[in-house]
Amino acid sequence: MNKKVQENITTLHKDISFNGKLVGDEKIIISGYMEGILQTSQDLTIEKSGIVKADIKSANLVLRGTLVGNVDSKGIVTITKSGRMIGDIKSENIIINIGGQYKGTILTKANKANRPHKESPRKNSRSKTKR
Amino acid sequence: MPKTTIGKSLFLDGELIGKDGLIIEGRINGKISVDTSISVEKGATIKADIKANNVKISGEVKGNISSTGNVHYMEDCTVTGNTTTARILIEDGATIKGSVHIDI
Repeated sequence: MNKKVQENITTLHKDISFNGKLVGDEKIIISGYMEGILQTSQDLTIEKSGIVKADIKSANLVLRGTLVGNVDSKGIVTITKSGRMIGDIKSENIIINIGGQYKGTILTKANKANRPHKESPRKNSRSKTKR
Repeated sequence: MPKTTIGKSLFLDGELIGKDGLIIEGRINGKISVDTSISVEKGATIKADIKANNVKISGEVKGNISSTGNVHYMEDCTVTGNTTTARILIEDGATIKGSVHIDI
């Protein structure tokens, strides 16, 4: 396949509201309203005016707006000072800045290692945790 | 006015409502309703009813199109569905299956 390395950015602007499932392989910026399921292999940014009620899967996540839902991130989750979130975060790196509001459960890699049972082998759990 | 772009690799399943302009390059299933203009680019696949002011289509659309302004079917577009609009422009080479109503 011709996968061009292109800087594709999808933006949902202020006055756009979306209800449903959004799946893709590119950077997504949300300034509007979204509800449902959101999955991307790239970075996700929720801007100040953005309101998201969704379960999210992404690489890095930057939250400046409001998010209700669970996050599964492969990169860094950042809740900035204007960010508000309710929901669980599953990520290796989490930053909550001063002023950021958060309610939920955090699951980092350390918690994962304590689990008694072995999960089925996945691509990213292969790396260092085997010892 | 800033325009919302749905990129090539994205797949949306659901309802999209807005006031801003919309550019679609990816795939959408469901329903689209926009107050201003909507542009379906080449390579985009849409299975949805579209409601907008101005509509411009170069990609593939399956669904009814309802417009209060212009509908512009570009050269390589494929449209399956009924069209209701005030004004229409169909270019040479456009593939259309469905009825067209031109109301004022």
